Amino acid sequence: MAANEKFGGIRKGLLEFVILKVIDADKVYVADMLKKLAGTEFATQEGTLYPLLSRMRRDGLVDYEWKESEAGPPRKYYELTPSGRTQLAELADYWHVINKTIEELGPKI
Amino acid sequence: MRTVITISLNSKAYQLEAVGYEALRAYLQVAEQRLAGNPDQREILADLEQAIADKCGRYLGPYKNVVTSEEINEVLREMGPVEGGAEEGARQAAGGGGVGDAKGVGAGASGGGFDAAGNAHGADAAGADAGAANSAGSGGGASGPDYFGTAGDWNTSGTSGGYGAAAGAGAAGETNSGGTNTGGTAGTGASGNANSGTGAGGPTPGEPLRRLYLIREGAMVGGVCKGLAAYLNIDVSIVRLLFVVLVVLTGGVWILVYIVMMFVIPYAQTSEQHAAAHGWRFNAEELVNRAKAHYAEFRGSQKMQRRQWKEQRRMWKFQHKQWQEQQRAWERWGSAQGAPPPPPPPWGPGQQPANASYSSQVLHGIVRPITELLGALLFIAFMILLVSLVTRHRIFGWWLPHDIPLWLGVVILVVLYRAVAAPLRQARYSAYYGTPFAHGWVALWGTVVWLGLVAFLSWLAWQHWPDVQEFLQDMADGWRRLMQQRPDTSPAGPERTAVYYLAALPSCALHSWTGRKVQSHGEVDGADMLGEATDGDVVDPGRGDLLHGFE
Repeated sequence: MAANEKFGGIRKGLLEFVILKVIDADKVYVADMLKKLAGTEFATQEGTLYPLLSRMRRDGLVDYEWKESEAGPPRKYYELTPSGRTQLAELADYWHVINKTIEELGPKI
Repeated sequence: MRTVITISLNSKAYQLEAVGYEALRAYLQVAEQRLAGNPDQREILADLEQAIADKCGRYLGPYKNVVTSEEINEVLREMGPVEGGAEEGARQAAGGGGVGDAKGVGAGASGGGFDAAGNAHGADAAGADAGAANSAGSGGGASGPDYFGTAGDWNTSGTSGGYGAAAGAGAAGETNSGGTNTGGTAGTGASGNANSGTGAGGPTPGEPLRRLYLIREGAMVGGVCKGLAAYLNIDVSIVRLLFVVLVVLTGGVWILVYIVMMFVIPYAQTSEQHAAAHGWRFNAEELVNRAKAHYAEFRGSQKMQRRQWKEQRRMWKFQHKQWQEQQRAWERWGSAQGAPPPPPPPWGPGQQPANASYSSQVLHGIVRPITELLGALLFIAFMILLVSLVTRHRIFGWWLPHDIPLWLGVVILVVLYRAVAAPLRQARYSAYYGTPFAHGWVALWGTVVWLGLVAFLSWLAWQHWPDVQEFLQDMADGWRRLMQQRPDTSPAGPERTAVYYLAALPSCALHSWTGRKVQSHGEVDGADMLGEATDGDVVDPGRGDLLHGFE
């Protein structure tokens, strides 16, 4: 199994955390999210993002409002719910803990 | 020549080439299957459709209304495989094959899907996984006829130049399609296929591109400041303050600059354009790179643009003709059927292709004022000729032949004017519909600008050409003569009087205006003239005073 496939697993696991972070920074459209993530480690696509967002909404982490647009139908404009914000804080803490643990374990890489 | 199929994505019509349509249909079908059991299935599918529609819109313009299959492939590649979530995918596969194997597929597919950055190695690995899954699947006899049908469709479109059929896909692609065919779980095939496309085609996520757009949401006037703020990544208030300061410093000239920007810069309409308006990282290096790239592009495309422009014009004419023919056909049909349905203009205000490319939108913003100006000039020329014809029965020394009555001369002149002005009007309409803000107030604004131009040019001519002054003088005399003749032949009823009064008004105004320049030759004032025109007895002194006011 190639190393970068393992990375893929890590990235996949972190995607939700990253999305929470992106939405926390500013209310966003999906296209904004994709643009923000494009070029990073977490570059993703609509096919992944929409199902993920719908699940996060069902979990009560994010919510959206419809925003009128000049042409075409209204767009979804995502924001974090209070519980989403709590979870983001928890995840961020956990992330720090993991980082620290990895750095402390074994010799410095 | 290729077959075109019209489809509706989230209630908006799009025209696709047949092959592209097959690919899209397969993509959406796979998505639907993968999302089976998801409580938000409908909603996610609608979102996906909308995203696809936005991306398709990027390829459409006033001169291009069909999405080619290559473009559809590009769109679908950007969309990426739809992930039903690992659990759902596993459950689906488990229904057919061994549980352990199904889990393997789920992991392989999702890992590969995530390697969207275009790693050939990842694609290969996923392909291998899918292959493994397919043998397991066929062992378990998983494939229902329904799935099989989908998979077949998928493969057809794939091999016929459709989705993910990049030539370089090679072995990985083959493995995948094999997997799809026998494995039966269309989902596996979908992600594998997408991977091979990515591996061959390179990175798919759109590169960060920032563009200057007007942003209407939360705008105070036209959204110029908001767009600039987004573009420069600074606070709107700062930009607005800067604009106000500039207006004060330049004594109001900056307002004109603002208006010009409002016309030239397109509105951000789709969410993609919104994202482009806000853009991505912005640093000096990127700025320099972009400037270089733009320059190279500009150098390279100057010739191309000229050719494209010519072609575009031809297309406009063609489209317009087509539309007219269509309308005529509808009318015929309507008169035959009794109830005519509304004729659908291909690019009427209702469904204009608002997604013309950025450069063509800017081009239209520039073209419109020019056509506006030409139209105004033409109109002035027409009016001068018309007045000259009516009052003096000649145009530029060319007398109207005696056997042609005056009314026919006027009709001929009007027809000639219409014929000359038609292409201009055509260009103006194209410009309207090419730009995304061709709504009521813009049309109104166009009229205001036009009238202003007429007034301004008339004034300019009056100031600088003695000929024009003479001409207006002549015109006033002509009107007066006309007015003097009429009342003798007709009884002066109250409504007649009102008509003559109205008709005499411009003449008086004109005369008092021209009178200023020729006062030394003889004083003729408006009230006197009106008195003559209406035999004096129907004009009360108050009205006379009113007319005196014009002097």
